[in-house]
Amino acid sequence: MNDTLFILTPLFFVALGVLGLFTPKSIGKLFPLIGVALAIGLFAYTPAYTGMISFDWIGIPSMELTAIISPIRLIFFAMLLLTLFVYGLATLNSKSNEEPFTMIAAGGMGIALFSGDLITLFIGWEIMTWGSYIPLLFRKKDHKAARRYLVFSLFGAATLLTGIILIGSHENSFLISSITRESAALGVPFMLIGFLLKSGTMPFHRWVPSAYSESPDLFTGFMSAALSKAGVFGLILAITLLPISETLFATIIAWLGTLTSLFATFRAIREEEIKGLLTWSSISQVGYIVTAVALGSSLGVAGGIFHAVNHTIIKILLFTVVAGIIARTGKTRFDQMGGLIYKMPFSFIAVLMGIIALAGMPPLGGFASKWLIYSALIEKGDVLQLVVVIAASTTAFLYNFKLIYGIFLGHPTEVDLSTAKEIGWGYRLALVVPLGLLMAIGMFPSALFTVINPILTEIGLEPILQGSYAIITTSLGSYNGLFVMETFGGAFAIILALFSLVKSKSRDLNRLDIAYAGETPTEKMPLHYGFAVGREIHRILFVGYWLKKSTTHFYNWVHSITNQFASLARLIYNGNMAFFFGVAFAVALLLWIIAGGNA
Amino acid sequence: MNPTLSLVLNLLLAPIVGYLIAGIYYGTYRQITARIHRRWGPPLIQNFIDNFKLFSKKDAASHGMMFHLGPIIMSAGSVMSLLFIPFFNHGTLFSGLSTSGNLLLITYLMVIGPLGNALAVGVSGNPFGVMGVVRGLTRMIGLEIAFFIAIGLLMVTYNTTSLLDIMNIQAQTGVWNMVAHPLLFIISLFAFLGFMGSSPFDMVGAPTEVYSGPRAEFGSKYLGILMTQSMIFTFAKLLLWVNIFMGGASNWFELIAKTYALFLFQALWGAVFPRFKVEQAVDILWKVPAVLGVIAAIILQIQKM
Repeated sequence: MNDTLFILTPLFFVALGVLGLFTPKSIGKLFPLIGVALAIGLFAYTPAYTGMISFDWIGIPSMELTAIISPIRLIFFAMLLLTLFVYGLATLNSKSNEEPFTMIAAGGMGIALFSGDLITLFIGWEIMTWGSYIPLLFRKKDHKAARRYLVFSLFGAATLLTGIILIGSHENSFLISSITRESAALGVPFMLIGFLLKSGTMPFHRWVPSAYSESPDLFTGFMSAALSKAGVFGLILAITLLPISETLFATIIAWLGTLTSLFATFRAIREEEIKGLLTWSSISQVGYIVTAVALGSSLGVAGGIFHAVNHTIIKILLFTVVAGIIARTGKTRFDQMGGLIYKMPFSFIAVLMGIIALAGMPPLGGFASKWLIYSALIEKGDVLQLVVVIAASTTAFLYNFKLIYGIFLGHPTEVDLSTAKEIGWGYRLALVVPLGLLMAIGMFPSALFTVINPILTEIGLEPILQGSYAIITTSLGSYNGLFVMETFGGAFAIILALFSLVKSKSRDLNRLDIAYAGETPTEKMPLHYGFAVGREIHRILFVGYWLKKSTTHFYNWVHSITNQFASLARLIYNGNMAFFFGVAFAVALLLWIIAGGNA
Repeated sequence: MNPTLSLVLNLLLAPIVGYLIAGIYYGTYRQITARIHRRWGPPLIQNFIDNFKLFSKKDAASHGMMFHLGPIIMSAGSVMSLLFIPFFNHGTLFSGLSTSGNLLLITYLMVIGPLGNALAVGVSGNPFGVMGVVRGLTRMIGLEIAFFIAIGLLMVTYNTTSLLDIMNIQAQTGVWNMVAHPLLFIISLFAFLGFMGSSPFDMVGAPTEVYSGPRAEFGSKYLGILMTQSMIFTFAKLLLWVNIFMGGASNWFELIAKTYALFLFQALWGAVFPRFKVEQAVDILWKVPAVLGVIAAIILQIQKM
């Protein structure tokens, strides 16, 4: 039972969070880092990859609370720890004060990840939701976004609970390991709605943009990088419980993911807020993960997990940089930024590497997971889905370019370049780890399979055996990540050296000294194209048509239906509490008499 | 020969050979379009002369470090895409790094160049240049859809992502993919015309609507290196299509004949067509290939049964 302490880390997180509510702000800021150090320390002290503890809380063995660890739980927990670490470092340098709630949310997610039974899963899920709800209230007086998040989360929780109760009552046990296929078929579809909602898959994505834009900047990174992965974990859990890969149901989920990735990408391009763009990008990236996981094949699940890891690294990187930039400049929109490259070189390089990985370009790590997902789709033989995913992935180049151009390139607009400074030291320090990881995964893509293969075995799929760390191999082909990185570095260095031999002297021009159709632009001319990048896309008939659509109408309809039902209820319930309780008591009495009147 | 030595020689020589061949091709291109316009046109080596002239200018207008590095990233991307595509369908001569890559990797390596270009154009601060970049990126959506309908169906049919496997299958059966799967070849030609930047998909430069597009700010040595890399990149693209659809080449003569045939196709096609708007291009690039792709998929299914 040496591993007991490590299994309990999520509880320590929650405890730290609660403690943080009563300690001074400056101490509370250290808690995320303390939590990470604690978790890593406990794991290093007794490295364990499997293990379980249970706690009989009401004396009914079938309702025991159980926590287990296994490879899949550990990799998602590792993503959580990475996010928490980057967040913890960056937050030291920020004015935010949501750290205790972050710890509570992280603890909740940890509990959900380590849960060995569905009750623990639900408890963790709820702690996570409530922990992440409160920071949304910090920003503005108007709490619409927070309320929306709450309503959607409650709906998700309700469906999750429905699924759990269905399984529990059918199985007479809540243990995940004892769930049979029949009871899973009964409950998992309900649970899936809760999971897809958390991961922000369309059409359950409505809460994501508003919640992300209203949350404190650093916390948004935490939500996108870590909390959205809870949904992915749930999805993997669901396909483990209910091997659905051959059914229509799996196809539907895979297509939901694919369409999410496409339409969220379109929407991201239109976005004028920097965080908004990253939000929609996050929705679309999780779409790829859902697609890959729902394929249910070894390659698909491996690609999905790989992409989840990549997405965690990339999104915590990008959201942290953006949070740093917003903290420095106080501006949040693309048309307010521009020209910051030589003032913020470190952030520029961080964002550049982030978008290279996000676009899935070699030589960085992002390519490996995209390649796996494409390979999985080719293996399945689904060209249509492959083409849609490719289309989404290519369209993503536009928003990636918009992100870097809008902030760093072009001309300055509302930010005064003479006073602009690099982002704070905490942010810079925090970014070193994700940047290093992106490089490392790019060079040694198959190293991650040392973790993914045990997971595939754990959930009953064939592992994808790899040779060396540099070469990633599937049944469909292989590529050498180290070679790609070396060739790129070599080609770049040689060309740079040759180019330096050219005699013509470079002369830096004034930024207004541009070829401008024969005119001389002045300071007052609007030369920054930042907010307009990607406007062309509206004129493409297909894209323009779908960009006009939105799920708002559907949810308005749901709203009006709910209202009508509420007014129906109002016919019976007249607002008088005493009367209501009287009726409830009478009904209970009646039921008791019908049931036989036993005490 | 020592394998390491031959590898190094391959890596260094491949871009130079590609540059020379594509340079001559572009020389003939200028003569052909000139004849269509009823003029004589420049000599065959005019491109090399131009390129040399650009590199020997005294002064180069720059917009800072990123502007300087952008064209180099672009060149590195072009050279890399060439290195991962083998020249011949057998042996190690000029096979570069093709054994360490695959078709999906190559398609993504081909995007590194545009990224480098986009960064340099962005930092130059020329709004017209950025418009050109955005047109290019928007057009790429359509191109990749068409391209992946073609190679996606091919990869699914052969159940591999490896370019070498696709070439070997053609070498073994003796049937080129453009003959075995003519519809897929036609679909891929839509993408090919776009990738080669020929009409009707040449809206990126578009000198009459936006002032010169992405290249507006580049002069002297910067324009020179962009020209050099564009020739290398052109050869890489020709080579890719020859390898995927025309069975690859077994000797230099075959290599020249096949790549030049493709080059001539796009040159002649481009000479007579007007230009699409970018949204029209994307529209046609997904609609027509999608319809053809569905037919091709049905045919492939029937062939399997």
